[in-house]
Amino acid sequence: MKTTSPSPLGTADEERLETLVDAFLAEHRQLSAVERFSQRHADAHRPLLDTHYRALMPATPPGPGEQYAFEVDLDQCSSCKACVVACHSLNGLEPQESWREIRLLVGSRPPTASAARAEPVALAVTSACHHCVDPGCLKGCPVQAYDKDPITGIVRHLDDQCIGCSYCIFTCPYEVPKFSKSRGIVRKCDLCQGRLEVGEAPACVQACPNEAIRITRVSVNATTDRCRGEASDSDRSEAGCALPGMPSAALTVPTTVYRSRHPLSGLESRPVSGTPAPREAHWPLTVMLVLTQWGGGVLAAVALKAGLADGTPTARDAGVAALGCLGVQGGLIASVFHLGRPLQAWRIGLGWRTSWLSREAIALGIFSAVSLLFTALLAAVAWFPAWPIPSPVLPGTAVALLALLVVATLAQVQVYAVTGRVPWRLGRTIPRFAGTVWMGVVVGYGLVVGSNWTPALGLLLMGLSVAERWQFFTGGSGANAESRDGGVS
Amino acid sequence: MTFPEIPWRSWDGPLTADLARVSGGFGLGQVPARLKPDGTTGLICGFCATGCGLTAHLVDGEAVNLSPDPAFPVNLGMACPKGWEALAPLDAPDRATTPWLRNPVTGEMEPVPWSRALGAFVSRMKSVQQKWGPHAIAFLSTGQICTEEMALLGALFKFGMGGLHCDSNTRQCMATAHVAYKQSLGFDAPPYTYADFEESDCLVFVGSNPAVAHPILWQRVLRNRRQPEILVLDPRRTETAMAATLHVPLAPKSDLTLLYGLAAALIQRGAVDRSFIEAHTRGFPEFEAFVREFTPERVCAEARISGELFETLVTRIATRARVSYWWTMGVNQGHESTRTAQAIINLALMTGQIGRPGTGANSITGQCNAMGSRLFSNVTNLFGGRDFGNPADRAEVESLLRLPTGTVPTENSWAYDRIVDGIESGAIRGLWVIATNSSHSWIQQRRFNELLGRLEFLVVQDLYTTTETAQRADLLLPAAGWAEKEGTFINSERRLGLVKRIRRAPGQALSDFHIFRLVAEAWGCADLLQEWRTPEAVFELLKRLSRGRPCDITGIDGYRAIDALGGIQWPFSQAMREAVLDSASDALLETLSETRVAEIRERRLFADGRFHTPDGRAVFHYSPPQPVPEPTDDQYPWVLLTGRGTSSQWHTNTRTSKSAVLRQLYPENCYVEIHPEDAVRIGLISGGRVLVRSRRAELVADACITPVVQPGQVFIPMHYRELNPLVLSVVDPHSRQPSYKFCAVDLEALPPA
Repeated sequence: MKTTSPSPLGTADEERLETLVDAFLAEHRQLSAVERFSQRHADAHRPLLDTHYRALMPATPPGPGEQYAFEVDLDQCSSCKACVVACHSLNGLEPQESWREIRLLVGSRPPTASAARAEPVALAVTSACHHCVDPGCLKGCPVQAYDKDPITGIVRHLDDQCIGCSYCIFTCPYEVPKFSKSRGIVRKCDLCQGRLEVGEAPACVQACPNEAIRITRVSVNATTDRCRGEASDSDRSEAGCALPGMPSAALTVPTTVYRSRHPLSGLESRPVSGTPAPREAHWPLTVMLVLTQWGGGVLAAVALKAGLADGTPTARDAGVAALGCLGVQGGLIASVFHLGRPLQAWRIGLGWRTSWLSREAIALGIFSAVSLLFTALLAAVAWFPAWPIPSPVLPGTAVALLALLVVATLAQVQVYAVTGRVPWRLGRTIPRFAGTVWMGVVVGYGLVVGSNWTPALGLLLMGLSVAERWQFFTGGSGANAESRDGGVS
Repeated sequence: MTFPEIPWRSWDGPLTADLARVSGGFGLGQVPARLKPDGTTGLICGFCATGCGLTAHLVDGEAVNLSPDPAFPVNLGMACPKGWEALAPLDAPDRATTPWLRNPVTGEMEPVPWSRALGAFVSRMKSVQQKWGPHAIAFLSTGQICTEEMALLGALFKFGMGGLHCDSNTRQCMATAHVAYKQSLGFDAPPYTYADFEESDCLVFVGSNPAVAHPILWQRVLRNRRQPEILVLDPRRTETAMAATLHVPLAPKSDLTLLYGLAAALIQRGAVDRSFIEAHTRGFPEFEAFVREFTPERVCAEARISGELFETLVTRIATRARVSYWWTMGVNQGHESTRTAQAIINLALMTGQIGRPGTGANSITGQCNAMGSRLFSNVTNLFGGRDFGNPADRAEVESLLRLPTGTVPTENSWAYDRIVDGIESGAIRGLWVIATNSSHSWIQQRRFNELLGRLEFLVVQDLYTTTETAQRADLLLPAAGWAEKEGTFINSERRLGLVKRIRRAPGQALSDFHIFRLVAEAWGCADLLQEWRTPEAVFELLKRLSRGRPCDITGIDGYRAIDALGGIQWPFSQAMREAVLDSASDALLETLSETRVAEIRERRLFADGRFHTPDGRAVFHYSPPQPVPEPTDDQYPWVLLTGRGTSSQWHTNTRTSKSAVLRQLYPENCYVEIHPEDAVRIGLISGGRVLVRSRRAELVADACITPVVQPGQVFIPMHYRELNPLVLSVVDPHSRQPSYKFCAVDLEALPPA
């Protein structure tokens, strides 16, 4: 801090000033607002806002066949966005984190009987978790880190159960769960469950100056009928979750009810930031898919040739199979880098009843074990021809290997196809994934027969595969409602 | 023997606990368990002049969280995004934590101790004064610091340092309202209280978008249970216009003509209050004759609205019992803004719509303490709305403040634009910029920034080292921010509210109050300011200065009373105080009963029809409308409008850009709103960009194709720094407030980035 140039003030003046500065700084360290001013509401038993939001909450908890839901009056919203920030503050979230977000609906309403001219419109649409009747996040989660409360219908995320695979962000059509880098898990809105339990309103309901957000009880069956039954587009007074730009409500049966007196169809949905969310390449997943599918293909080539066709495996066959195993194992290892909490990866099979990711993991696990067994068998036969292995074992293992490859690859396809995103539909994903496996088969065969062009072709095709998979992820991920199945536009 | 249970599903654990909520006590409801307070206290938000009460959640006296105060009469438990996030800007990494002095040899800023910084301040400023005269130093201040700080600065500069020329950024937002009220009503006295939003039958918003610019005032409008007409005069279909019962999309800057036309039409219908005019106003007959030429045909042609729409507007105003008029920057920032504001005041006067619940010609203020600045900054007016040119006023202030005779300057300061011109002419050589970002916000920022280079000494006093202005400083003084100091603000409805210290300022940063005291010490004029020791001591001086003035606050006991009553509106004189006390033993305001509190909580002015002019009559002011200074032509065929972007942005974004959650609520890049027809006309595609060119500068902005702007007009929010150089440099002749709202531009479509 000291500089050598002479001070324009004398030493005595400087010292006097520094003494005063020290006194002021000391005063700044004292925080005595409570002592100087009286502590108000010290013995308040109820929240002071209670009287404000009581009318915005149902009088009783949901009955049988009902659940809680958000209801948003779009005509009452003035676009102030306090709900987004209040959610952040009252839930103690990370600096950029909020469980509410705003999109805009922009355009013109056509002339009507009451308004002769087309009326310009720019509406804010606030949304949080829709606490769906058939939640995509819950079904997709491989570790059962989601729970739908049987009474309230609240879809709760179990933060300590989460392994940070982010798959729920894919399976939620609205991309509601958000990944927290610092914690390695996703987090999402829990409808302020604890607040509801004691009769308090969720943060966003408390904070809306215009009472545009309320909590209601909705009938589960009626909601399901509205979303999945015969859609009645004419009844726009109860728009439900079918706003322009939103994914089809048939996917997960969202419960949020949006209301407006005006027709909303024809409006264009836009992010408030002006720029769409960046799309992610998901490199660990890209590497995982490419390596497991290539490895599987190479192993399949060996299985077809040495396990079934000629039945006399060579050391070369064993070597190529080992290469295939290396690919599969490498892919599995790469997938771990996708996880926010890799040490919890052991839970991945828990969700097998509903989760295709869980099933993929189990199928790949078994496939990788059988491929190791198969490779060991090949090596044993090649190096110790005298070893008495019963004759059906090798072809049997080869058949099992091939069958498992088909199952695992189909599981991989389903992981993406069930998300409902247009670029990831079955018709698009099956050819992509099968094509990658096929490349592995071709190159594996070339290696087995010792063709000279194989390494060069292999590298070229591998490069193509990586590029294809990068495109696959950037095309399908990212908050892009239009890319989803049934997206209303 | 039992094995530990395998945790197939973890319903609990550290990550779950992270988000646990517990009852916060103190009437808060549930709060994050990590942030559970051991006490709370209230303070006024430091962004806009709505003046919302916030509850700070305290742990060991330090704020860990904030929520809106349900017991505060202004905001009733609500806040806009800026209020909710008000603590975040204090934690920014670019806070100034030590004074910085530019090394004359290297040209680099170097950290220095306070004593060195003050030494440099005094020696360089005094050297400027010795070479170029005492008036060669100037300051540009703000509407964002506490009244006591503004007052100390004004006293220090004008009484202690021998300076004269000073102004504040309120010139950019409220100068027009100030001058309009002063000329028309005799004092800068916005007459309303926020309850008027709820009490009115017909609210006329002129150039005002409270839904976005003042969301909590809009909340009060929506609480109106009288089924009010909401009439919005605005070229854009703003969020407010969309919620209105009638939107009048008048041509930009045709407002004055339209308002005169309204007056003429109301007179024509006999919808005026002759007895009120007779008893309480001056100049109506001449005004009546003047507006006669503003026929509906002329008005509709100039405002480009249909005769039918105009008739509807007139009818709705004429037929409702309680009509209130509200204006904001759409009026204040125009080339004939003072007359426009007065045209609104004239309407209220001639219809007798003032002084009763739900009425008034009401200016909605911009900054949190623009109103404090207007009354007590000693800049444009001598303390308490007095006149520097009036010998009696000067003598009174000298006596009240125990100053030697002749201490108070006899001339007025130059306005902001003249100070800038003074830098160009060489009259101003040393400049002190306090809590404002002129390098971004003042008209023609490029010229302004070029002129800063000509100064011999530029001092910037700010929270951050990174503002456009701070980066040009020779000396940067690190200031404590809102909530790191104490003092009072005055809001739009004249309510004094309290700011408290609930955060420790970082490093060596000190409150503006303490910095001014240090400058006084170093300058050698501290003796003159002996009474100005603490903010609350200065508040006592302000009470003394207000005695007998329209803004009399002598009945306010002190900070504790302001805190206990949820703010107190001026005037609150000693006599008014005695009238509401229950008994002689009831010596403290804060012990008042609920009913007494309710009585003094919401008060409006002029119920008796007596105004602050010498004869007690309000005056009609008017002049013929002038053409816009830069009309569109073949070369520049579009009108560029400017204004606030979103409720999560504030002015030059110095503070609002510090909050990660606020940043997600507005576009990062500068954008331009353009009508779909115009987009087609210039060949703009969705996701494209637009080159916007005025006679002075050009910018590239993301295109936002939207019908909320009319064809032939484009809109760019003021928060993006590249906008300012395009804007025309014109000021209103009465208020000298810049016109930011209208200039001619050309557009060119560019492909997406």
